[in-house]
Amino acid sequence: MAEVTYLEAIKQALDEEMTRDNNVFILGEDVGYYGGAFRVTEGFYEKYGQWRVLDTPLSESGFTGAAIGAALMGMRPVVEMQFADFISCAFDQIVSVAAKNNYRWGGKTPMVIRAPFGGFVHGGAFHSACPETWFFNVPGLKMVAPSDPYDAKGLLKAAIRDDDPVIYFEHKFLYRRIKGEVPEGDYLVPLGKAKVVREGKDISVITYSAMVHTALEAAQALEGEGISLEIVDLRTLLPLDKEGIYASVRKTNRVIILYETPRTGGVGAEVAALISEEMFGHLDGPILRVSAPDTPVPYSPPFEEFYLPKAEDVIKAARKLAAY
Amino acid sequence: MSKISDALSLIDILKEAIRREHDSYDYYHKAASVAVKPASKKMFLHLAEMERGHASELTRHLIDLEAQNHIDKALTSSF
Repeated sequence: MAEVTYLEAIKQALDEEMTRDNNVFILGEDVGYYGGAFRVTEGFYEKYGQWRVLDTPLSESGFTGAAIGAALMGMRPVVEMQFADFISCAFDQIVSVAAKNNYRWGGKTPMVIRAPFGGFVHGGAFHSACPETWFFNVPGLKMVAPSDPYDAKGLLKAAIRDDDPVIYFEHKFLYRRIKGEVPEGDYLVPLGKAKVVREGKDISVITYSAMVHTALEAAQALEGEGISLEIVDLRTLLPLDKEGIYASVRKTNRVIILYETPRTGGVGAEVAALISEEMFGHLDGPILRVSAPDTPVPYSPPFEEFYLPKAEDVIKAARKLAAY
Repeated sequence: MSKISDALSLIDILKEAIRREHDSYDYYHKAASVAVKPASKKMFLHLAEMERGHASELTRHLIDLEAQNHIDKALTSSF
């Protein structure tokens, strides 16, 4: 198996799917001639031509609507939001049209919206958001957020082949910082399945995307204190892998939910509610959340560092929970 | 340091530093292979490992810097 970056894994998935299926095409701002703001689609315009790698005007609502139309006609568009923050401009098309087509009249809308998201990049309030929470209670959508190259490739290929609209949250900070082994041949990572990335016995840390690496750092630091963290990478946020979450809670009886979005609502709140409803008898302590505070992402690097959840925050929460 | 041109960027400096750490690793490793006394061999191997550690640390910084450079370009091109 070859070792590739997170970004290269995304690129491979797109390339392989476009080669496999002529109905797959890409559209978005600067994705063609320029190769994408982050260079994910570099070389695609030359390889697949202007009709399969479409440079669009700066209108997220417009090109998302165009993708929905193409999907309804049997194609499999992959939309790139240049930054996930801009996805709000296409909100109506995604939640009122793409997500509801199947419920309203059985209209399959097989499309993927790639959304480069997340902080740690000094992008400030307009280029650092984690908007998964905004879409979390929209039936008809699926959402994935890989943390490593293997899942980045396998989940994107699975998302492209899925018949529902899938928002694919790819973390900008991981693009060129995380490397991992990826099989040469075709493989899929099924949607809706979490994975345990580190076995442990004392506390479950339920998390996803870049925060998986924060959790791993904390777990390593806590080893010396005799606190063993089990890390569950959700991978798919919608639908959640409830059984995967419950299995870890049954094992450790203590839970921390770690996420990069503002604290209120969203994935962390839903996971906490599910555990409270279904697994209360297994808990030996309160469910703790480690998250960003309820503000936009600050631009100032020291403020951003303060704002984002860190390994120290997880360590503090784990000590508190272990002593409960 | 006098040989380092002012024009070299931080990335170039890191790349050069990594190259030198690898050279040092090779140097100590070679020294260990020709050393006769076990204590000398052990010392050279230890020094070689230290150089390898430096190279790894510098590589981590280089990856981080290059990754951030790409993101900065994306950020500035999106305004």
